[in-house]
Amino acid sequence: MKLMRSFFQTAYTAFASGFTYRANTALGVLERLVRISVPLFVWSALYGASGETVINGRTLGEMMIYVLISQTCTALVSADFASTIENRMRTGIIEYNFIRPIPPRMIFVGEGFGQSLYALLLTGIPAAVLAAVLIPQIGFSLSPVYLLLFITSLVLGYVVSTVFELLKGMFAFWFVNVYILNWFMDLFYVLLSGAFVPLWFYPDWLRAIAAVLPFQAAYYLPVEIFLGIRDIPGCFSALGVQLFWIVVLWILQEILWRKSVYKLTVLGG
Amino acid sequence: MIHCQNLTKNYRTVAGKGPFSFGRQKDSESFLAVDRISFHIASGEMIGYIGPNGAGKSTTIKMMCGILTPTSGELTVNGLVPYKNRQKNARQIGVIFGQKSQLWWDLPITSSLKLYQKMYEIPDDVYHERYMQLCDMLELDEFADRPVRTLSLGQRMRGELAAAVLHRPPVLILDEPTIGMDVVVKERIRTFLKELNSAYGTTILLTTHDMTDIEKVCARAIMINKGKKLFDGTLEALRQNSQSDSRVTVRLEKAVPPWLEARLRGLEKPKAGTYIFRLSHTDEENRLLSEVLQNNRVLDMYIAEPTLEEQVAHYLGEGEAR
Repeated sequence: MKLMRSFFQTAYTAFASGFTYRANTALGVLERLVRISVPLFVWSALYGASGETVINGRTLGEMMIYVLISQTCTALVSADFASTIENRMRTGIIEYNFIRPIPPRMIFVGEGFGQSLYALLLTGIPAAVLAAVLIPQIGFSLSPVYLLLFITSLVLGYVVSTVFELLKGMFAFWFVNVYILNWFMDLFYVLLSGAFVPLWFYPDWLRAIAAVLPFQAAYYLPVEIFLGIRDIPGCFSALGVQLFWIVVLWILQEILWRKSVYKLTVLGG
Repeated sequence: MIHCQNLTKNYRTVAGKGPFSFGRQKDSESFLAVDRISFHIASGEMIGYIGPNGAGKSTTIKMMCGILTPTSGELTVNGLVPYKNRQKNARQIGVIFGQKSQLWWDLPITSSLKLYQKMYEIPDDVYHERYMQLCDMLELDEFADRPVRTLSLGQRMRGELAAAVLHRPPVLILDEPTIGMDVVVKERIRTFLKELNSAYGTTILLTTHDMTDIEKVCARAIMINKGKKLFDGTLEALRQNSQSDSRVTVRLEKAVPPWLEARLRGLEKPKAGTYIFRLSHTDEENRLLSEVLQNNRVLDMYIAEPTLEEQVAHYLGEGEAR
């Protein structure tokens, strides 16, 4: 309980910190608006040019929902606290995280949570506006069961991305400068998570690769559930996949964390 | 309150790791940062922990915080072994690393303080009381609502102090808190530390390169160099032990005869009749002084005691020679 209070206050502080640059926040909303609109225009043009109403089994309406939901989810999992850890490692400020009565990782995750909420708010406003305009045209409904499954999956997706971010952060303890490593990770993330292009457009072999990697568990699976592509058992197996990755990534980061702490405390950074 | 017994920290560093040494055989090299240091600090003491750069001060401090694990020896802070109980130890220590910040850069200090209030589980009413008190002592009011990034270095350090003592730790560890501060801010920090000590009996360990900080705040100094303890005792004892020279400036009516002049150490004669020389406090040198003044009329005389800084430098110099 006391840990939760510290956690939420940390998140709140990080969230508040996002608002200090008001012009930046305003521009951020605008940037997200562009970022969501561009794929909407692109897909509309592609569907229009092909003359088909259904491509790869998906209608333009589904495609638009996909863009709205996936961009919103991207914001939620966009906290980059791995680079915060890296930065603190380089400047030595990390020491302050180790002299608090709460575990250092809780501080990192709390700050990441605050950043995510801030990013979600930036994206949420334009996404809501676009949804209000588009959804009535497309006509879309979601049953309560699917909504519940979607929210569950979204939370699990957030946990997957958070644990993955922790894992990335642990590398900072070893290599100190992990910019290039993170760049590669982000590339994989964009390609294989289905954030940019939905996985159903991928050739089978690329989809097979994506299926065995953790990236899609972060937010492609929630979007699939939202779109009703999966039947109920399929939804549960998606949740199972997410849980599987949470466990696997958690074990990996736990091993690295122990080694990192050993390196920092015993070998001296 | 703080107890060290043969405390040792040995770093393993990778030798010859230049920027272009890819794939070369890496030898690990051992480096003794802290070498069998022992001391005991009682509750409520204010200790100056001094020594040149790279002496091992920060390493000792990090061990007290539990960030570093000692290679061997014992260390307890208020009865706890820091590296085994890092989080528990965190509640009883306040820490300042003068070159790093624990405040949120883009937010006013009050935001950071509220965060630490939750972390250290301080009830709201207690927090408000302490905040008002700290406002008073550190004059936080004038900048409390401005983002930390807009503060001057001195203002920021006052904020850092507030953050470090908010949970009223029995032990306060300060690693160069006055670095880069102007005289006024330094003085305010010293006053604050003394007030804190007298009001709550806070044990203070202060690391600084400014010997005035030590003189004004601490009764006892522990000096280390190259990981070894050189001195541990009162400032008085440090002065007596160091035996560095006083500087005598004297203006005389008649010139000092050359044979006597030859015996004066470090002699300078900026003007005719003015003599500046060094004098230690030994009987022999005191006799020399009376010889110089004999059969002469003193027009003006001035004796400068060595500063603590000179004494420490002298002490360290002797340590090197030994």
